[in-house]
Amino acid sequence: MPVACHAPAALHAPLAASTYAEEVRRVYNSAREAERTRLTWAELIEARLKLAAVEEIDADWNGGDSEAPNLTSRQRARRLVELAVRDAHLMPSAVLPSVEGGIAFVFKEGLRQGSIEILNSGELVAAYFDNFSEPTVWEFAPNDASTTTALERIRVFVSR
Amino acid sequence: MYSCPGERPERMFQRSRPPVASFSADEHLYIRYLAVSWIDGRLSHTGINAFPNKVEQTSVNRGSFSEPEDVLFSEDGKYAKHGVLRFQVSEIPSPVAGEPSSLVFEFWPKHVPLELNYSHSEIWSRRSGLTSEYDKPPASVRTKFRIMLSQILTADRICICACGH
Repeated sequence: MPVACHAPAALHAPLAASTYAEEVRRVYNSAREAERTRLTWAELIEARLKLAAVEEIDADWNGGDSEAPNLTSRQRARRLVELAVRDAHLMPSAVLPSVEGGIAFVFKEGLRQGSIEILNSGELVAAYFDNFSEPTVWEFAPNDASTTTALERIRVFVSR
Repeated sequence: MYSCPGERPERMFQRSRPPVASFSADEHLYIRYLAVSWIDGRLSHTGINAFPNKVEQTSVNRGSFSEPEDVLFSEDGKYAKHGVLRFQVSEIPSPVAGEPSSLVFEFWPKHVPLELNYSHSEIWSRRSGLTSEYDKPPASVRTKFRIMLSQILTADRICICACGH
């Protein structure tokens, strides 16, 4: 007698609707996640390029009144890019040299804005504000936890 | 666009003129800026030339004794790419509270003539309640000061456009 005659009936039964829907959802979510990862990588590269442009700024970029970013600022800024884009999903609108010597990240969403300045002096300052009200400003420690907290506070404000 | 004159304008030389301590509230102050710091029609506070770290004080030129372009004059052209913004003495952010909020600083203009720039002035600061001549603000106060000033320095405050702006 052919083997097929002894195959379990389930092999020949059509997929249950719930199983098909679950499979579609699984594939869809996987594709979305892949797209999100692709976009995150694109944003990360874009942010790194913005930072690289600031790192290459001339020593007398501000007519000699301000220092160019030093090694410590540059290293901390590179870490901030990773934490901001990859972890906090917060893309900097601009990366600029700071007149106080260092690197500044600006996060804008309409009239709301956040910023983090990494100064050559070692100071780290975060802020968020709009065009009219009193800004909220605070200094924070040079570690991942404090940086992540600062980014999250900024993200919550600008995305309101 | 600014083009640096070949010679320093006569009005810029001090020529033994003494400092003038008083400022009227509506007197203009001129400050430099760079196009790189202009974002979406506004000057980023990170580019306001306040507390530049190679010079202790924030330098401005007072309008009573100068024209806007004087703040860009330099024999070696080092400010050739800069532009000029104006604001009034009454618009100097003061007082400014940092973190903690008990940390309050006052800001005011001081005429500090230079031999080659009579109108040169500086924005000085002191912690509220103290009698010291000058206290450097902490980073949170400095940043807040610059943000509050940037909220005023909109495009209509441009006297001379920066290169690339």
